[in-house]
Formats: sequence, C-alpha cells, structure tokens
Amino acid sequence: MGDKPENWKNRIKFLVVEDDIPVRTFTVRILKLLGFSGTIYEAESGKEGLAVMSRDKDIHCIICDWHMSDIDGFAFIQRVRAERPQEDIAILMASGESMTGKITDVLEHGADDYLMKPFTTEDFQKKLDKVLSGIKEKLEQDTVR
Amino acid sequence: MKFTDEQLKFTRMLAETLPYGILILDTEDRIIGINRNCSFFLNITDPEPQARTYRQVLSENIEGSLSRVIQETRDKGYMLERTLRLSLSGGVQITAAVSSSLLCETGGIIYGMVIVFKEMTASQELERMRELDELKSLFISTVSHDLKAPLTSICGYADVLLQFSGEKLDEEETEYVRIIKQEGLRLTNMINDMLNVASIESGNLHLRPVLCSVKDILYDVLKVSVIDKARHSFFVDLEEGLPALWLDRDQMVRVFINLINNAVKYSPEGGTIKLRAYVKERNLQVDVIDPGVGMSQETLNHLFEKFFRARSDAVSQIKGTGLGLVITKGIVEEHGGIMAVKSNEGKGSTFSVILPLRLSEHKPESC
Repeated sequence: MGDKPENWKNRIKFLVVEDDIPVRTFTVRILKLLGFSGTIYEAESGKEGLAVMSRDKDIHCIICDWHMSDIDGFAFIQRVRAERPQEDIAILMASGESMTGKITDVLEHGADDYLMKPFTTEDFQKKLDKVLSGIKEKLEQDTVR
Repeated sequence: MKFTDEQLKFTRMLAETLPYGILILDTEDRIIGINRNCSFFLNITDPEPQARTYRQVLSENIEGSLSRVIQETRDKGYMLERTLRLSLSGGVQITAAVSSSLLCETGGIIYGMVIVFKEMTASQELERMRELDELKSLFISTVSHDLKAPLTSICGYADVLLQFSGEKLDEEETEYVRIIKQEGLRLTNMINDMLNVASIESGNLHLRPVLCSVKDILYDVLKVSVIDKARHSFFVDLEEGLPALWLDRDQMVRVFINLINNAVKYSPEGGTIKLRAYVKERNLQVDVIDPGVGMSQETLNHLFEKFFRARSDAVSQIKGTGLGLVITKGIVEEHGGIMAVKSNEGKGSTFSVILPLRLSEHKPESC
C-alpha cells in the first residue's frame, strides 16, 4: 500500500530540549498542530537530551534551547555533531538571544538554523521547512523503496 | 655614602614625580627623606620634618599604625603590601597600600628603611564600578532571558489562536488576541533594546565587518521599513560610484531601520522622506531627512541619552523605549563613525551617519 504524500510527517522523530516547561509544551503542541504526528521526545536539560539520543539512534531533528541549566547550547551541539553529521540529524536552535554575532556562532558550531524567541507559527514552520528539507527527501525516498 | 649634587637633584626629582608617598627613616627613626605625596598622605604640616623622628611629626592615630609597620620591617627586613586607612586634612579618609623594606647595602650595613604608600581609593572605586557593571550586565542578560520564556508562550499561544481557531473566535475576540500578540512582541523589542544597550555599554558588541555596499543596505532597509504608503514616499539620492565599506551588515541594517522608522514615525502628517548618500572629504555620509515635527534645542541636547523621549503634543502618541537612538549611535561609533543631527521644530530633522573611509575603501563599489 502506497504512502500518502504527507506520510513522512508521521515518521519523523523529534527531540525537544528545553528547560522551561511551558515553552517545551508549546513547542510540542505546535509541532502537532503543524501535522507532525510521530514520536516527539522531550528533555529538560542537555544531558537528558543526550541520554534520549543514546537510547534512540533514529531521531531526525532536535529543537533545543541555548541557555540550559547543565550544558549550554554550544556544548550540546558539539556533542551531538561528534556522533551525528548534519545530513543525518537537523538541529534547530531556539533562543531568546538576539545578538547577531552570537547567532552566527551557533550556526558555525553546527546548528542548521536559529529561531529567535518568541516565535510565531509562521517563523517556526519556515525554519522547520528549511532544516528538514534533506530529511524529508530521505524519508520520502525510503517510502518509495 | 657620598652623592654628587647632580645625583641628589635627580633622586629628589624622581621621588617627587612618582605617584607614591615615599618615607625614608634612619636607624634612629629620624626622617631623612620624604616626598610631597607622603606629607599629604600622612597629613604632615611641619614644613621641615627632616631630622625629627616620625613620632614627633605624625598624629597619634597614624603614628600607631606606622609603628607596627616599622616594627615588622625591623623584624623581617621587609613588609609585604597591606592596606591602611589614613585621614587627610579636612577629615577625608583614604585607603593606602603600604609596603616597606630595610635600606641596606649588599655588605649588610643598614641605613634605615623605606616605606612606600600607594593611594588605593581610586582603583578600589574603579574595581567596584567594574564589578557593578558586570553585575548589571549579568542581571540584564538573565532577566531578559527569563522574560523571553513566558513571552514565547504568550505570543506563541496568541498566534496559534489566530492561526488555528478558524471561526471559533468572533471578530472582537480575534482583535483581543491580536492585541495580546502585538503587545507581547512590543515587550520583546523593549527587552532586545535593553540587551543591545547593555552590550554596547560593556563593549561587547563585537562587530563582524564584511565589505558591503551602503546602497544595498539602504534598499534592503526600505523593503522592511514600516511605512504608510498612502502618506509617505521615499526619495533616494545616491552619489555615483559610492565606495564599498567594511561594515557589520546586520548592525548597519539596524541603524538605518531605526533612522528610517523614526523618520516615518515623527512625520505623522506624511510627506517625502529623503535618503542621501555621498562621499564628503574622507567620509561616507548618509542623511535621512524627514519633513516631520522636528525638535527643539532642548530635545536635541538630550536626544542620545538613555530612555529620553521627546515630550510635546506633536509626539505624545508615538511609542518607543527611548533606546533606539542610543543603540544607533553606539553602533555607528563602534564602526569609528559619528552621528550628527540637525532639526527645525515644526519643519523636520536630518540625521546623518558619517562613516570614515579607509584607504582601501576609496574605490567605487563593484556592485
């Protein structure tokens, strides 16, 4: 039986790493509203996020905060990238940081894009479309096979 | 020990020039050398203190502190720096760092001791200011980060309601939600402005200059500026062959967004806003000229002060934090440039960004 065009959205696995519970809940809800009905893991710290990643090696996209209580966004991205290259897992950094220099640093450290808090549904969707384009293509090809 | 007149003159000059108080005692505690700074620190009024013991010329409270310094120096041969509170004439208290050492030849003959006083009040004050400044920056950054989290939920859910509620919200309810979102974003902008001011003030702006075209920047800014097209129009006059400049593009975009948005905001009756860019002497100058309400001399005097807002009937309804021009000026100055402003009340204002050209930037831009 063939997959529907949007089927990749059911199979993509997310990890949301955010220490602020309402923001984490909001991020998960908005993902669901945008039609991502597959697995969405939640972690409240960088270390917890890394632990989730070691349990499930098939996570496709991480949406993470910059300021976390244990390890900061830079350290977290570096640890993820040490094991998973950019074509394998997308990282969208969401933070209240508004200084352009720091945003450039985040991208140079291996994040695929940066989302400034607070964000609108439209901002979120645009950034997700961008960081997920490669993964979407990969999942759609898998479906055809 | 024999000195020539020249040597004595030079030594005296050196002692008077150093920013320290220097006191030299012989082995009988008699003063054999004292410079002006030391007389000032120890509040010695005797014009000829030489040859008298320090006990004879010092006030009781200073004498007690100094006796302990002298005793320790005799016992150990030196005393490492420690602080003393000293009372100057007129009751002014200062903190001084005091260190001392025996004055002796290599062979071991002891001539006495030298005690050095260094005024610490200014450096302590500077250190305190530096700590306060760091604390302020940390406070602003922490508060701003912690404020952004609830704002993400407030603006985010308001936006979700607007995007996904369909017909569930009536017109009035939709308007309320739209206001919640709009005001949340306004608060976000205020926080960002405060963060930017804190970065500029603490020298943490860290520009990332790239060679770029002012013409491109201006046209990009015009695309995103909030204008009421029914009332405002732009007239752009760029000199031929403007040179490319090393600028932090994002920051410079922010400068012109601020200036152009201000030009629009403060021209509530509408009209033509002119943008002019040209090379003048060794600078590239960009003028943003509005036909708006203008400013009084009193307003111009305070224009670049933090949280300053012009107060007049003509502008009382215009919203703002009073930080935009502080940020604009800070960014321009960080590029080595200056901001200039001319204004006529009721007739409009001209804000000029004047950026210095480096030698390599005198050629016309390639694009």
